[in-house]
Amino acid sequence: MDCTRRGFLKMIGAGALCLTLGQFGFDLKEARAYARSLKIEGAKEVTTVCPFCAVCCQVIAHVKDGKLVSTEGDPDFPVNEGSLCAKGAALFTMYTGEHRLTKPLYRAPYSDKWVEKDWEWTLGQIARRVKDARDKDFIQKNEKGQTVNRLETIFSMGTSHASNEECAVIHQAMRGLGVVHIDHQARV
Amino acid sequence: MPAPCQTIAQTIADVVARRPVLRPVLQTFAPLLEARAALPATLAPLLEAGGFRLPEWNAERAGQGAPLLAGTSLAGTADALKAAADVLLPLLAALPGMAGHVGGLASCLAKDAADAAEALLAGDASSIAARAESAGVPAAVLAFALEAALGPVLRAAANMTGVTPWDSHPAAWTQGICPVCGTFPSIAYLEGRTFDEKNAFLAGGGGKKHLHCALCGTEWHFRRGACPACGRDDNGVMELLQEARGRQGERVDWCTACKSYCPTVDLRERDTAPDMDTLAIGMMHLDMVASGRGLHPLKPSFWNQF
Repeated sequence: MDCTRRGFLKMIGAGALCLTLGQFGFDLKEARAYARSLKIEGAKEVTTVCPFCAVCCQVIAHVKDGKLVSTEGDPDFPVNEGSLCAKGAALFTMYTGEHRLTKPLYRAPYSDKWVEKDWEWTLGQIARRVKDARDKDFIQKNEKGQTVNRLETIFSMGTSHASNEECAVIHQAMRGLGVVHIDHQARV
Repeated sequence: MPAPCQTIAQTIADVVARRPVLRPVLQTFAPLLEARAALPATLAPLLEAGGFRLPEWNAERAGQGAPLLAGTSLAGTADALKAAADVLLPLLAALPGMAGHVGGLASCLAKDAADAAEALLAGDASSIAARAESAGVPAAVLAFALEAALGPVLRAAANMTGVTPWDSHPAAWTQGICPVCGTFPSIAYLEGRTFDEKNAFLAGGGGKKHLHCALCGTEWHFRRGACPACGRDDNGVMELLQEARGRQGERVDWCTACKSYCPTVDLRERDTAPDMDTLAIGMMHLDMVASGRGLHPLKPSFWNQF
């Protein structure tokens, strides 16, 4: 027997070798009408990586008309085999959660109100405060007179939403300022 | 814990309750489905007596995509095929439009059932057509009868080996065709959720895709993002079509590259696992939707040709 994939594909091409319900005498008019009445929706399955920690569990994202509609663990990925931790399982809400901030909000000292700000103002404020903190607290030498060039009043907390390259740039920026207290969300 | 399995009758009842329009088709083919499911247990002794066994699993052959039966003679299956035909032909005769063909089918199967089955497995359409002509039946009718009889025989042979490397080591078989007989699947399912007590903080799980062979009923793992027909597994190659509501995990997975599709049921959305051969027919409404969109089934069958 020559049992090959090509042979089966050939057989599939031979549609004449397949009976139909019509040949069995069935009238499919009602079934067709039923099928036409259905509201059908489609989605594309796209594999991606959970951004929350260094385990990098793989995720299947369902995308409909260019929009994310659901996420699930990728069962074929050997690390998580379809499972996700609580954070990963809630990945979908990272994009759809109503509590997610989409614009910078600022609450002035002693105020009880959040005010919407644009990014230019916000980044300017951050830069100003970092510079001020560094100018005020920079430690050039320790008690023994040894050069240390460090800043202990700023703490950097990395985010797993940043890519490897972004993390490298952030790390270098912090080291450039003399920041020594550096950690990452994926570790804690 | 795996979901409890439905019988054929329960699966039909479940489908008919949701889609009464499919009742005539399902009820007509129910006796054939029941008989095919019961046959493998009775055929095993005949296969043993005929000296037929599936070949040993060969990892290198499997790695190159050759199913177990590739290059294997079915000569030892003759008695089992005849026994299966004895049970199934009266049921075929009861199907609308088939009564007039049963005599021809019986003579064809009595003469050289094993050779005809080999021709079917090899996809030798001209050989099937020639045998059908000499038996005085349409080629499609002979192919239908041969598939009906050969499926339980191969299922019995697969059960006899008890070795299923495609289950224990899914990487051992990565093809979209059956590791036993090489046929394309009629339906696929995504397995139900699993709960690991050692990792209770993990959510989800399950969802692995298994393809169900249209001929012998073997089930094997297949990658979710890949097409069983053309093998493409780029991101976004596979898309799905499903009802907006009340779908019970039923959908069609189709390939944007080669336009083939396979009905699929997600067992995470059901309390019980249906009988797959029965549900394949019971999802005919989605076959109609797919056909209307220019898609073609992985395994052409009487319920998905319009």
